[in-house]
Amino acid sequence: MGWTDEDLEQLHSMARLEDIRDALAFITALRKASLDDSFSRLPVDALQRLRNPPHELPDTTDPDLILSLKFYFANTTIKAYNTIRDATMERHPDDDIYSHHRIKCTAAELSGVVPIVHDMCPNTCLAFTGPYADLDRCPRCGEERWDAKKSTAQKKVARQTFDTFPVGPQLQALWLHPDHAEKMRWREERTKDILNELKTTGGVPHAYEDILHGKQYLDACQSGQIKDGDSVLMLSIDGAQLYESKQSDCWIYIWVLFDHAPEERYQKKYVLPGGIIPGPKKPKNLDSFIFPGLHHLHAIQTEGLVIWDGAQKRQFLSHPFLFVATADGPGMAFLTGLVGHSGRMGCRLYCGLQGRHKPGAPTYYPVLRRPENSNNHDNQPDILIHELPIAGSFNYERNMERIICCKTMAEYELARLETGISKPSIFCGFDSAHILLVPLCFGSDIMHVAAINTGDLLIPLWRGTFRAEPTDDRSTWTWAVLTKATWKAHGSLIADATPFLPGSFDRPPRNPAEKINSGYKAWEWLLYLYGMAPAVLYGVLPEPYWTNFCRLARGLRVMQQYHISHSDLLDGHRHLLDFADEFEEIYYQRRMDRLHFIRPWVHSITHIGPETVNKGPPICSSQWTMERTIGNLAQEIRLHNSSVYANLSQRAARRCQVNAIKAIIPSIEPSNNTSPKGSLDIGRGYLLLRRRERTAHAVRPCEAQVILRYLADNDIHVTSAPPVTRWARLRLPNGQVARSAWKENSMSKQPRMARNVKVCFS
Amino acid sequence: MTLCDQEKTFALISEFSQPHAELFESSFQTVFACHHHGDASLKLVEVFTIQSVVAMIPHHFPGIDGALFYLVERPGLDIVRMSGVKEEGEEGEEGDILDED
Repeated sequence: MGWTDEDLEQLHSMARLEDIRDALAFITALRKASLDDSFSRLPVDALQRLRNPPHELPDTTDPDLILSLKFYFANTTIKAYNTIRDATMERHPDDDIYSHHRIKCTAAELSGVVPIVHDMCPNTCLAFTGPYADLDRCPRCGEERWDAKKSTAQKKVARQTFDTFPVGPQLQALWLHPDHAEKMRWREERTKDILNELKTTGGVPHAYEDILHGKQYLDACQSGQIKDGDSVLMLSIDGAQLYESKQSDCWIYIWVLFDHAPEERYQKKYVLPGGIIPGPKKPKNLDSFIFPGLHHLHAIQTEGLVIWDGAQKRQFLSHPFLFVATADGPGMAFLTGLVGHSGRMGCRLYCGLQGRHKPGAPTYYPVLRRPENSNNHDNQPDILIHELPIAGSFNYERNMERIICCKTMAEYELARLETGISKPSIFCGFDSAHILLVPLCFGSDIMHVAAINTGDLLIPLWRGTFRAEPTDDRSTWTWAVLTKATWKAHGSLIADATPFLPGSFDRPPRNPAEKINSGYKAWEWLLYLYGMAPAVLYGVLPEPYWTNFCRLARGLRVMQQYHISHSDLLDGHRHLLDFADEFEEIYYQRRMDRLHFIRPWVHSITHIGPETVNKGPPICSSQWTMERTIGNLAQEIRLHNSSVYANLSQRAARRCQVNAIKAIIPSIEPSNNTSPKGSLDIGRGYLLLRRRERTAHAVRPCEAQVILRYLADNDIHVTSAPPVTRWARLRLPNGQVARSAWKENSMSKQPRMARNVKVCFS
Repeated sequence: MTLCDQEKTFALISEFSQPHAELFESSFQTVFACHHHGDASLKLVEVFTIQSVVAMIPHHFPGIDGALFYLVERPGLDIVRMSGVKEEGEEGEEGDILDED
């Protein structure tokens, strides 16, 4: 499977259309990637170090170095750093705190992570990489590449550059310290356990707990594509709007490492920044921007990345494996080269379901039932939900070749419509030994589907504000009940629930009747739609619409867990299929003028179950990590800075270095396992937290009765219940903190209630 | 409390009722709504039986008498664990180390 180097060369020579030629130029350049080629651009000393990583931990006995690093890590500006430095040296004149420049260089040296800088079009059309590397102006918008004022005859200076953070040095840093090297081995240990477990269960896991339980991962291990020590990677990319009020697009991509245990891998310090694409406009040719990062990855995949394992004191070659690439819906079309969700073949997982469209309108919808009275406009018969094709089953290879061979635009447009491919995916450039083959490496994104897309359709439908064609009379929408006073009352119910949602539930959903259009967050949608809506819509949303919605809630609740038992998976999948099938029946009702009710997510959810079998619980490869990374990077930058993008890039570069140094010198970070003052560790991950009663007090008669009964059940017979000493709070193994009623009732300001707990009697 | 030479920590809880059967079934188990009986359903449990903190939200269901409390669990509780989110104490609870009578 996959193309050989010769195949790709030949395909490239056959391509006639310019965009396709360019895409193939990137693909072939990627396929031939080497750390020594002209695209690599890694500085000589960085390359030298990459091939000969240090075997020794850096000398950390210099207290001045450690103190300087700590100041530097505090995300200080140059000015703040120098102020702290001066103040410290005034008080302790013998200290030699590093200058800002020196500590910056030292951090780069210690971490081994140096950004690779490339030029780009000032309008973010494309990056001057790969086939565009030698151009003097942007072929799209014509903008000059060079800054005329700063450039000289000897040295040309680009008007705009962007940074790529090579993944190789970041991986090496994670292996140097013995403690971290052990952490990096989690994946291979766990994989052995899983393979042993599967021998006893006939190949079906009891539960899906990680991508490691996914069939595609296990197959890649068993076929030898993934070996011990090979890092397994997820690429995740997303655009962020840095200012709410004006266009300020910025695209960021990150690497998530499946080598670490799930408890750790999604944490800020283990998520590896990959690159920053400055705006303020959207990138038009994304391939050219991610090319440097992918090129570096493919080069180390084929050459082998030299790793010094600080735990086992040995050197080995790692061949990182690219398991999955993911983005939100629009970003995904960019990444995959597929047409996107409004195309006839719009499924992002490339299942090959053919959509339907309204006469004369270009947008397709993944509708299973043939509309009535469609005459000759739509000849595709009904598709049964249980006969939906599986993800990746449309013939990508043959279809891509068809796209490449198109000679005229007319030919291309027809091929694009019928194949769902707008250009060959840059991921075809990876050698099939080191990637899950295109299109299988394209991930789903449960975060956007569950948390944003569903609500964007259902709420407007229920409010009766969803777009209706002139031929469709909204008064026949029997589901449209959340109007006027009902909608207001519904909104209040959600807002009024806030005091009952524990602090550990994070941000409670705001009143949807007031705030649904002002940046309602993914997390708010999640609590609102799946946590609360089934209850508060009971008796409000009529039948069969309420029952239908409950199916969705049931299915998605299951699928958003990190631990999905095999039986839950089957159950959840059945509910999602039933939901999707019934949704067409009761809302769309085979009406041509309602095709647009069937949004892409109604189809996407039918893939979630089978994709869980393939890739493990969808939450493990979801965009949640990306969202958080963007969030905390954006937080770190100072938004009023005039060069906001450069600043963001510096933050990301520093993040790479800080993470690497923390991995190499773990002692630099204060341990966060310290227990709060006055707490009592009672074992098994449970911690009692203050306050605590100073003296034991007698219990009320109803309480005494219960205590005596408990004691009697344990063969302890006493005449009166012993006095008790109460604690205020209990920290659970999952990190949540429960409060006692004693504590909550004594608080001056009513807190968000955290006294309700789930108890398991075994 | 010391039981059979073992120091044990208990929680005195008030158990919610079984979920309203019809709501529970017709909603495919997405509506778990219970009665609260206060002191009438007290129970002593070992703290280790406590699995997670949940929300119980009072609500009047149309056509069903009395207030019920419906359950909301934190979606993908795992995410807390996975992202290493730490809980913030409210009104300076972290500094709450005094003993109290």
